[in-house]
Order: sequence, then structure tokens, then C-alpha cells
Amino acid sequence: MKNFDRRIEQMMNENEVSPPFGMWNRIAAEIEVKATAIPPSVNSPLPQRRVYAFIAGALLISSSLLTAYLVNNISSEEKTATLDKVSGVEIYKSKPVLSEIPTIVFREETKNILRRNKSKSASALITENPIANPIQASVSTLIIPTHAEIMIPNQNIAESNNNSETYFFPAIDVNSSSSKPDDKPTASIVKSSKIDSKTIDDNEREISSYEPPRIKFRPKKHRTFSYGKIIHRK
Amino acid sequence: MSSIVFQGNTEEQIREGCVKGDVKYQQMLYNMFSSKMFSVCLRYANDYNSAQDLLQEGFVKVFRNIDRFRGDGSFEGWVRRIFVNTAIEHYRKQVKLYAIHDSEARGYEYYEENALETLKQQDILKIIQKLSDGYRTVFNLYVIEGFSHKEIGELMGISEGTSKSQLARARYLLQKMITESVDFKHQSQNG
Repeated sequence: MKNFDRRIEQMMNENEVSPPFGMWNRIAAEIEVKATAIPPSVNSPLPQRRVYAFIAGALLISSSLLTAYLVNNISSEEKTATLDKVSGVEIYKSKPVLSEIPTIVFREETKNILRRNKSKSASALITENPIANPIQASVSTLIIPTHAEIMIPNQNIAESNNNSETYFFPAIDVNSSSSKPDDKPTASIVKSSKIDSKTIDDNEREISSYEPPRIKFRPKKHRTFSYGKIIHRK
Repeated sequence: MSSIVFQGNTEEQIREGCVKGDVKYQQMLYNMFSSKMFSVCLRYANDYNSAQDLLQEGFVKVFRNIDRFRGDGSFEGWVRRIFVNTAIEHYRKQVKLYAIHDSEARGYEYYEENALETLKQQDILKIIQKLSDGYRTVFNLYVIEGFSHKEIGELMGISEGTSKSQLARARYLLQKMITESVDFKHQSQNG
């Protein structure tokens, strides 16, 4: 068997057969076709990699611009609160519109309180401040804690004393009572806690149900109309 | 290491020219190896036309991948390997090989060792081409290319045992055909 294999191998390795004429033309034609079908990327004026890089860069820039546009719009429209840092503690400040609400509210409270007490003290000077916007008032009634101590500045005393100290409206955090500023105002302030609790309760009841006063027109029991009692002067 | 000179150019020069895509050097390479490689194609193909197709496909692969030759072995061996792989790929999809029983794989009983001497190379080549694709491929790979049964199994996607049985069967058929051919030759000479 080994001799047979060896002899066959020897004969086949020695054997050389010339290919038919025209074989090279067939091969050359196929090589040319493949060479034209796949153009070399090295010689091309704008390589594909650069094109892809350009497209990717354009997409990146456009997406970043779009993101920046959206972020700016959202931040200008929907910034309900800004983060502020006071002595290392993070506090959310309310929007400027909402920050005005407490001031209005406690003035309204003061107005009502003073009306009920019928006191003609100096603090009545600041009571005539009508609520400009009923929506603000209605919002304020929702956010004011009923148990909080409300600081009421006594403007009259401050003005009469010609106090050189700055008038200070304390910043009130409407969200939490724990974030009250520690510094007390320099001007003289009357605490509403001094007012008797009954008055506050009445006041709260009035404010908490703030709505335009509803007047129910009930029909009188006797339908006869009268002009009242006519007093004839003698 | 001696360099082969062909038509006034060394093998390296021809190779470099082919890497650059110069048609002149490509034709030189074709002229250098076409006869040897066509013989290889004829051994693996079952007819002349199929051998031409294999030759064309093999040279296209050589020119396209010539830059991958690292110079570890001989360049001729690298080119030959490409042609053998092309032939295997060509027939692997068509051929389904199965293991054969040992009784069928025995050697031909009436084979005479001197019978080969009476035949020419062309006659042997024609007899090999008469084998079926599977037998012919396994026989070529084992006897002429020198692959082991394990390598043949990996190349053709068959088991080692199948490769052995296919080779034995191919050898048996070849010996039988050679003996019949020699007998026919003797009878024609005498008669």
C-alpha cells in the first residue's frame, strides 16, 4: 500500500499540465471587474471614515443644541423653586410670586384681627392693604400654617421713633416651620400670638374659607312687601 | 535562501508587483505557477472544464490575498494551499461522505505493483478523475498533499474514521481500475 501511494504521489507531483490558451485573459478580466467594483478607499478624495465622522459630528452638535434649547426653555418656564444655601443647609426658596403671598396674608389677618378687636392702635396703619388678586389670597390660605407664629411688624412705632434701623420683613418659609431664620428682626414687632386665641380662630375660619361671599337670597316667609314703619313727624 | 528567478525577476519582485496590482507581474506569476496548479486542479476536479474553473477561482484568490503572505514558508506552498482549499470548498458542499464497512475497504486482491509502471501520468490522472468526488478528494489530500486523517476530517467536516474508510475505498477502486486498464492495454497489444 505504501509503495502504491508513494508511486502515485511521485507521478502526480512530477506531472504538469499547461492550462488552455486564453485562460489568463479570463483571470485578468475577473480581476479587473473586481478591482472596479471595489474602489480603493485610499485614493478616494473623501474617505468614507471622514464622511462618517462628519455626519456623526453634525448629529452630536445638533443634539447638544437641541438639548440646551430644551433645558433653557424648561428652566425659564418651570422653575418653581431655586436651590439656595444658607449656612450649609439647603433650602428651597419659593418663586417670587409665591413669596409675596405670606405678606399679603398676614396683613389680611391683621386687618381682620384688628377689626375684630376694634382696637385703634398704631398697628392699624398697615391694615388698609386690600388684596389685589383674589387668587393670591386663596392660595395663601392654603399654605399658611395655622399654628405658626406670625410676625407682624409694627410700622407705626418704627416710623414714630424715627428708628435708623432698617425695616425688616422676616423671610418666611412657607414650606416648613423648621427653616425659619434664626435672626430676629431689628424693628419692633408685635407677635400675633399675643392676640387671644379666640380671635385667631375666628380669623382662621374666615380666611380658610375664603371665597367671594355668597349671599343666599331666601324668600321671606310673608310675601307682602312693606316699606317699613313710617314715622310721621309731628 | 535561494530566490527563484523568472523572466529576469525574482520571486520577491513579482510578489511586490502583484501586491501593487501591476498586471505585468500578475501575468508573470500566472506563467510561473499555472502548469503546476492546473495539475492540482485536474486531480481534484472530475473533468477538464471544472479544473479550469478551479484554476481561475484559485488565481483570483491568490491575487486578492497576496499581501497576506508573511514569508514563513515557501511561496509555492502557499499558492498550492490556496488551490487545494479552493477545491475542497468547491466539492465540500456537494459531497456527502459516509463511513464504509471494513469488508468493502479492503485492498484489491489482484493488484500488481508493477502495473503502475506501465501507465503514463496522464492515464493515472484520468483514472483518478473517474473516482467519485469524496473518494478523490480524500485520496488527494492524504496521498499527494500529505494531510493526516484528523486534518482531512477538519477540512471536510467529517470524522477521522470516515476519512480512513473513504481512503481505503478509494485505494481499492484505483487499484482495480489500474489493473483493469493494464489488462486492457495488454490485451490490445497482444490482440
